[in-house]
Amino acid sequence: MRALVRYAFRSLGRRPLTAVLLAVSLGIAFGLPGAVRSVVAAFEEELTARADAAPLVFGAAGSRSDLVLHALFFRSDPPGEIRVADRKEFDSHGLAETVPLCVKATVRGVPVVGTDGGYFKLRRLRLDAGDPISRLGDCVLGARAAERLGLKAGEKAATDPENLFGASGGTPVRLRITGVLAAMGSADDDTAFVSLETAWLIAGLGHGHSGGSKTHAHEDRESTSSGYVEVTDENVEGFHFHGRPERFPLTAVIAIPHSRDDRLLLISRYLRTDEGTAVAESDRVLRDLLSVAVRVRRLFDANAVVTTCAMILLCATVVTLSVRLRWPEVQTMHRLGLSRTRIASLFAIEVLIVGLGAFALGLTIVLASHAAAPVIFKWFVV
Amino acid sequence: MIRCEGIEFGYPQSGFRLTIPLLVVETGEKAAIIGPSGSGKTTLLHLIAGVRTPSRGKIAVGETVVSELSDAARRRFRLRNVGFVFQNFELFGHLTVRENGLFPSAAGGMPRRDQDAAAAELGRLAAAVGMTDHLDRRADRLSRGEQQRAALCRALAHRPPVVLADEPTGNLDPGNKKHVMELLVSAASEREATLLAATHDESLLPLFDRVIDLRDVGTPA
Repeated sequence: MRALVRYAFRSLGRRPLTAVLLAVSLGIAFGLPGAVRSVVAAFEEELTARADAAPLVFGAAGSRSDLVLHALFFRSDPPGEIRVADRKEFDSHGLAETVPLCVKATVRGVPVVGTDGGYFKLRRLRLDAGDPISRLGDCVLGARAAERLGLKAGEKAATDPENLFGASGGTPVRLRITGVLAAMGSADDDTAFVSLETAWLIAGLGHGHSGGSKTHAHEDRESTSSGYVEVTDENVEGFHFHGRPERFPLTAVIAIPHSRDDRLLLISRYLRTDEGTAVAESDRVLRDLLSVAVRVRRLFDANAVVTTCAMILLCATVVTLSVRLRWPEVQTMHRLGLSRTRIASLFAIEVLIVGLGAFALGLTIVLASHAAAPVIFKWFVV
Repeated sequence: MIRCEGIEFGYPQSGFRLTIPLLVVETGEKAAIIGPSGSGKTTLLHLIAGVRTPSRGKIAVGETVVSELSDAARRRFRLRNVGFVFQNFELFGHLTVRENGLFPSAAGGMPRRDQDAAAAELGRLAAAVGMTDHLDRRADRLSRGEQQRAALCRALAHRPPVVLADEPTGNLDPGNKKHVMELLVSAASEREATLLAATHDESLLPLFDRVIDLRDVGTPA
């Protein structure tokens, strides 16, 4: 048998490129479905983990999917706004810890999330460089947002003149970037974080006085000499908000119930949506969304089976053609006296070597993608 | 001894028929088979080797009645007892001379002892035919004369009692023809093998003990 293996290797060696191409094609065909599954699994894991950390989302009544996606990924338009008073009322039940969110603006397309220190604790966000938010007008950037915007701690960035969801916003606010967060492989990496007060300032709810002049955040761009409002150490004391704070907007509130019973109580309490507020279950919403992904994956799996079958048929054709091309060799072996089994074994070992090469490559692709799935997910999917 | 008796053979899809009432080649004899193209020289060698079987008659090599063996048994018989030299050499171009020479014993699955014996014999043969320096060269990088000498080594390395050569010098230049045939005859003689060589070339016939004209012993139709 060792002699046959040696002869098979020598035979493959005369057309190494063909053998390698065949093995690589098969390896990719075998490995790719596994690789996709690994990345999809990482995607599902990340989504589920994010939802698990924020089990309930309180917000305006409407599409629960929109509310959850908005609160977890800052990507979709929330169904509406609620007021600070609504959160206070929600907190008054004493059934959950809450984290407020006000996501209404962007910095060159990066969503600006107004929140408090509870969010950083909830998502275990830590600074990679710089300092945390210390005053009005401060901002910390997610790792990828900083990279995308080309900004670092100590630099400044103005909010976009239009707000996140299209309607005309107030005068842009020039934010002071105090720090950059460590990469987390989540939606937080693509986000700019500010305090709730800064989010409200951006929304045009506050104004400042510097010297004898007044700077309204809701004034038109033309009304300020520089085209934006900027809070500085010198003028920060002059900024204040008009109106009752209870009326200030929030786009969502993440709620972490103290217990399973508290969760059920909160859900039942907010079943009625005619009061304008609602509670959405993050895990349930994501499960519904992922069930679509599962169906897509099944379709992909079926496609992979068909593709693999096609590849096997293609390889069978290649082998058949190869045997036909090498028929004179087979005839020589026959005349020399090699048994049918030995001749067939010689060809079978060649196929096996290519198959093992393909299997090894496929396995490498699967293992590598499994190991790198969080990174792939982090850089290409999130 | 090779004994063909009452042989009839025909290819199903052609009108060719070979009939040999009786042909005997003694053990150790060096015989040339001559005859015009299409007279059945190659067919006769294939029948003796068991590559083909006659529709009638008996072919015996030594004590073995080759014509009565199964396909698998004929292959086993051929592997151990027959050394083939082909007109087109039929070496495996991607293999070295050494790998080609040991191919029947190694790829054929002979016991280790026989493979070792074949390797030693190959060394002696290579020295005898001047191929020692070429043992580790690929067959497709040899000249035609060298290729036929390599083919000769392959045919004899496992010391078969019968060597069948089908126009072994047919593709060689005149200078190489005589040299290769002399090498073949002397190598077969030294190993006391029976040699049966089909040839067109009358100038080579003096090298043989006997010349068998198929027109005398066979009747191709």
